[in-house]
Parts: sequence; C-alpha cells; structure tokens
Amino acid sequence: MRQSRATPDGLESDLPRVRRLSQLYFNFAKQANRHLNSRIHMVARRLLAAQLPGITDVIPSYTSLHVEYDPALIGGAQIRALVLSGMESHDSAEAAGRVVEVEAVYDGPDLQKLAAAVGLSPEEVVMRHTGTDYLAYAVGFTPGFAFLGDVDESIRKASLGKPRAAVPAGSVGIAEGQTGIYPLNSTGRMEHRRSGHGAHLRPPP
Amino acid sequence: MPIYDPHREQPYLIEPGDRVRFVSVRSGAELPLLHPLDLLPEQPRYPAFRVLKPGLLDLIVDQGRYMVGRLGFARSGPLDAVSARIASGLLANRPSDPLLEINVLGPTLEALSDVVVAVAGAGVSFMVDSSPAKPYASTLIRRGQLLTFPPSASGTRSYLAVAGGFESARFLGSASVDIRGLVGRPLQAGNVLGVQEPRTPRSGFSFTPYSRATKTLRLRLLPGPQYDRDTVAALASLPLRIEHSDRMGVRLSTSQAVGSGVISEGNPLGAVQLTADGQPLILLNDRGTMGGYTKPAIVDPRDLPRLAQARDGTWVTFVVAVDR
Repeated sequence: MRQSRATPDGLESDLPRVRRLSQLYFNFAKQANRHLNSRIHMVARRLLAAQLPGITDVIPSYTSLHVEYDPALIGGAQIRALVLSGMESHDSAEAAGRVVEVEAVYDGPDLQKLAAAVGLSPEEVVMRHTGTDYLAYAVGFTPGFAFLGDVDESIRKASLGKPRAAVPAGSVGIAEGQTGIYPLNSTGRMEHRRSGHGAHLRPPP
Repeated sequence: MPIYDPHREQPYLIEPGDRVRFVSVRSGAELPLLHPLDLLPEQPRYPAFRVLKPGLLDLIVDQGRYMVGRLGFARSGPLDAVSARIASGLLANRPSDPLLEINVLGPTLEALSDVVVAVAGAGVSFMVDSSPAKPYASTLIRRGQLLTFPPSASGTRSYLAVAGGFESARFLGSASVDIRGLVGRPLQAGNVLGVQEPRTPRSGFSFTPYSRATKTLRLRLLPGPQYDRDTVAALASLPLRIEHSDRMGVRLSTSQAVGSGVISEGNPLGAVQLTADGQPLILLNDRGTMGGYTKPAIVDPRDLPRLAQARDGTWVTFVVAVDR
C-alpha cells in the first residue's frame, strides 16, 4: 500500500500534475475592419503552422486574438513577440484566405418580410446578398458557425421582431452587417431569412 | 453539403479568414438530418463492461480537444482534471487514455471480464455487488460483478478509469464527448465498453487526497481580457451563491460589478463573464468558444477542479490574486 497526502490549498504540488493553462489576449482596435481582421487570421495561421510546443489553442476574432498556452512549455513573452511582429508585417497575399462557395436556396420564411422592411423586391435582396464576397471574421460559438460580413448596407435590418424559437440547421440568417449559416439546429439570434440546401467547397485559386 | 458534419473527413467548410460567396440555386437536395458521431466501437476488441442502466450523464473523456477552438469546438474533457488524473494514475494509465466522467448518479455496469479499475472524485459513491468499495484505489473487478455509483453527500463528478483505458475513436485528436458538437454521446443502456489495451496492473494502490469541508469556496481571480481594477474589486466584494452549474459554466447570484457588451471574441476557459445586470457566469469546458460580454477576470486554473465539484447553493468568495 502506498499513500501520499495533498491539500487542495497551498500544497498543490503534491497533486498529480495536470495542465494549468495561461491565456494571452490581444485587442488591436475598437472597431472591426477587413484589413485588420485578415491580418489577425494570418498571424493565427502562422502560429498554428509553427506547431510550437505549449500552444494549446488560438482563437482569432473581429479585433482580437486569444492564445492559450502551457507556461511550463512556452513563455508568454515569446508568444507576444511572435504575434506583435506578425501584425507588423504586410503580406496581403498571405493574409487572403481561401474562397468558399456556398449554394443556397432563397426560399426562407423571412425573405418577404425583410424585402418589405428594406423596401426592395425579394429578387433584389437576393442579388445584393449574393453580390458580395464575405469575410469569415470569426468561426465559433458552436462548431462550424462563421460570422460573415459585411452585408450590403441596403439590406441591413437589425431585427424583424422576436428571435425564432427554433432554426433548422442549414438556415442562412442576417443581422445588421452580419450573415451566417446555422450549422446545427438552434435558437435564432439572427433573423432566419432563407434556407440553404447545400454548399460546396471550391479549392483555393 | 451541410456546413458542418462530424461524419465527414473535413467536418467544417469555413475557416476563419476565408472569403465566402453565396450562389443562389433554384433547388437542392434536402440536408441530411445530422446525428451524433459514435466514438465507441460497435464491437470492442476486449469487452469490459455492459451498461445495464445509464447514469444522469456518463461521458467518455480524455484530456479534451485542443487547437480547434478557432473552428468553434469546445474543449470538452474532464471538468475536474485532477480527479481524472488521479484515477488514471492509480492504474499507470497515460493522461491521454480515455476514462468515464460520472455526474451525480452513475451507471450500473456489469463486468464482462476481470479488469482493474480506479474511481476518483467526490461526485458519487462506489459500490461493487451492492457493497461499498474503496475509491482512490486500484481495485480488481471479477467478471459478472455489478458496479453502481449512487450519489454521494457532496460533490458532483467522479471518474472511473480502467487499466489500459477505454477503447474509443478520436475526433480531431480527442476521445472526449462533445454533446453540442454531435461528437460521441452519453452512455446508453446496452453499450459495451471495451478496453483499449488490456493490462493487469496490481490492485491495492491507493491515494488519499486531503479534503477539508468548507462552507464557502475560495476562487482566486486573475486579470481577464477586460480587466478593470474597480470592476474586479466589486466582483470580489461579497460572497456569491452558485445558482446553476453545468458543463458549460457556473452561474452566480447577482454581484456588485457591472459588465457590458464587447465585439464577439474568444472565450477563455475559466473566464468570469459579466452581463449588464451584474450576473457572473464562469465559463467551463463546454462553453461556446465565442462571446460578446465583458470578462474582467479569469478564475485561477488551479481552482477550476474544485469549482467543478461545487453543488448549486454553494457560496463562492472571490480572492483577487493579482492586482495589476
């Protein structure tokens, strides 16, 4: 029989070693813009590609970058230096992400309502929604959900009333400047405008 | 093609930084109904237990899913990583070997072969053939014996490890169940749990963690993304009560501190998210990876295992550990 004792307070070194991760948070601006956001994603991709031992997660978003790391394996100062020097570099080719094409059937329950609210025909709303290249400013909340922007000014509408209680997976929503595709059945914070019946991935040019 | 499908080799279509174009089409195939990806093998190579009755929430976990937060995947994995590590360590398992997280009331398991197991954590009691068995010890279970895990007097989670680890497929590098992400599922009656690589370590090793019954739970606070000295001081000014706790987070009673909205950003593990009406939510392993509320503080990661064991109604005292 072997025994050892440890206390939860104070003598924690006696407990089995588990990862105790630290967080680094960078915020580069008060307002989001495409140029800044693309550079944040470029830095995030570089951090991931470097496969530095000790980095456990990298979450880029509109104006910020969140890096989680194991301080036993890598120093925060090293990560900070990598991120800040990456943000200084201006490689626009590297900053541009892939192009993904998503096929959608514009027959959602809110299309007519949105068209009426912004004073356009449904066909015109569809044209303006498909006429823009969106940037995936961030992916998250749930697996696969992309925060896409920016929606054409002329079809922005904050809200069409109460959020829907249930939105089926595959629906495309719009909320002010953002649009997104629901990966899973969920409650709708964005207005459900049309249902997407398929998407396909186009390889990068 | 669905935008997310855990069954597909490339489960997600869009990565952060991609450019996306919508193309209007007249009609398309109906999207298939998404169902969870099974991680447990249909026919385990070395059957160890049959689930006769599931518990409230029995989840296969390893150390969690890393490096995919940018795609929206939760960390998942054990909420009390220390207890999980103790259960694995008693059997000389690797930290990455899958084990079972048991929540409040455990399953009834019938042993299908002789195996050595270890149970750790405060969440449940451990019984073999209706007699109390020793937790925090490696224990030989004989084929045909029944394992049960009735609720304990305190705590919420325990871990059952089997020598050699449970057999499970990995998804994006991890065997941990992610219910919202449709990765794996809680144990169901009839499931057969297998052993990954059969080993027969000696039984009889034990480890007794010291625990002291305290009325309040002390949690150390580190500076969060929206750190502000006054807000953190206000947050720590009064004890707060746990109103609701689950694998996504721990909701506390209304504090003196006031939060606000921010542009959506990554949610760190252990972050104290604060709404405008002053209600703090401490974000745990199954949290959404992005959020739009201020996070003035982060709970010291050393305190998260004890927070994970706290039941609703427990009083929490925040201690400002670093004053920057």
